[in-house]
Amino acid sequence: MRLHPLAAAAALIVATLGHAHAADISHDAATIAPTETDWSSFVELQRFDPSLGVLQQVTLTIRGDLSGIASAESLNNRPTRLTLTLSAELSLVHPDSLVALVSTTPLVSQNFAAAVYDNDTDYGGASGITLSNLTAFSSNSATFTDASTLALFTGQGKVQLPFEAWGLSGVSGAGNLDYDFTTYASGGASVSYLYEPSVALPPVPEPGTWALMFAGLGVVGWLARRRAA
Amino acid sequence: MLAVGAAQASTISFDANYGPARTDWDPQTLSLQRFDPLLGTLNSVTFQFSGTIRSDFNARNKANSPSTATSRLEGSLRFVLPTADEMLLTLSDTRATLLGGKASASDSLTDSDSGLLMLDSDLDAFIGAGSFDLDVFALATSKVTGTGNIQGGVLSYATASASVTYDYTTLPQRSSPVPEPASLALVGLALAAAGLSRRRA
Repeated sequence: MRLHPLAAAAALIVATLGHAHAADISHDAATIAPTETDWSSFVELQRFDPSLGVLQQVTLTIRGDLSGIASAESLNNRPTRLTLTLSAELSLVHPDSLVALVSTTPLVSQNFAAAVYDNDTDYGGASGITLSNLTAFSSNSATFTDASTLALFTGQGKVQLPFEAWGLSGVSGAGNLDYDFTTYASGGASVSYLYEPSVALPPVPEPGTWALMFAGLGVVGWLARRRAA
Repeated sequence: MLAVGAAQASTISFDANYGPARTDWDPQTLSLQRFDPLLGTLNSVTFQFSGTIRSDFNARNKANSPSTATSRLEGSLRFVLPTADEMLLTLSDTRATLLGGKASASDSLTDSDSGLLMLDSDLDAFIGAGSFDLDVFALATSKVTGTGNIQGGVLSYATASASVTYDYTTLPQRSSPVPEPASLALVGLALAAAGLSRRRA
């Protein structure tokens, strides 16, 4: 059966009108307040609502903020170089497998040329130093497309992810020294969902599309009349 | 018969040590006795160097939750002879220590090493009366990481020892003097002459 040219053209246009582009939506979790390392807490992230469409990709972002004080005193009988580091590893962890999903390690490091021990362990003078108001920031993202992770983030309500901070602060240098470190870590997390929106009704065509459609139908009609003639 | 003692190889050793003493040594000195030339002919000088570094770490976890601190010791002992020959020993040790919440811990890290050095030429510095000096440089560095809320300290100590072994050939002992070949020839000639004269007679 030969399909009427007008019908064929109309069917083609409706088919193209049904197509939609991928969309994304993001959610933030409440930040964990600065707390002495090491700590183990959790964040809650809004799941992807499956009524929006088909979830294709999950991007998890972790942010780590450090603040603290690093002090050291060389007790050495020769000048030496001390390196003071404030650091911590922060991780978002899979709630079932307890494998880290994404991690970040903010770090701030400073060198100090210490003189021979000045006979006073006060983290000052010629052989000691106190670095207060140290801060460090870093962030990292990881993308997941595997079925298991997509399933974890799909549904109603929020998913709870363990959030851990492990202190890595330290000092290196002289074989004879005293030190004192305080490290506070604060953490943030966010999630981004890339999805194919579900098509409940065809989207309303743009005015340009309407014009093109009628122009095309007009051409097809004119051709049909010519052939009939 | 003339009694003759053969030359023989022998050794004689001396040693010296220093420490434990706080690093760094910049340097410390060890004294070893020289080889007495009256003993014989010096063939070779062998040195045995050994050293230990010990670092005592103490730490207090200021936080409520337990934490692991990693301590690392790295050090070196460098022996320098009057001939400018050197022996370098490198030392290291690492330990992870679990600190309970609001708890303290102490740990000693230690490492030892030794080396052998033999010299068989330019031995003048080691021959004579009295003793010679060798310098020992000891350096230690430390590293503490892990836990963010920790207060503590490190103290490092080095111990060094050196021994010298002289390998020599003793001068031969004489109960009667050994005749020179020329003297033997003369005796032989005299005996032959005496024999000849007896035959003639």
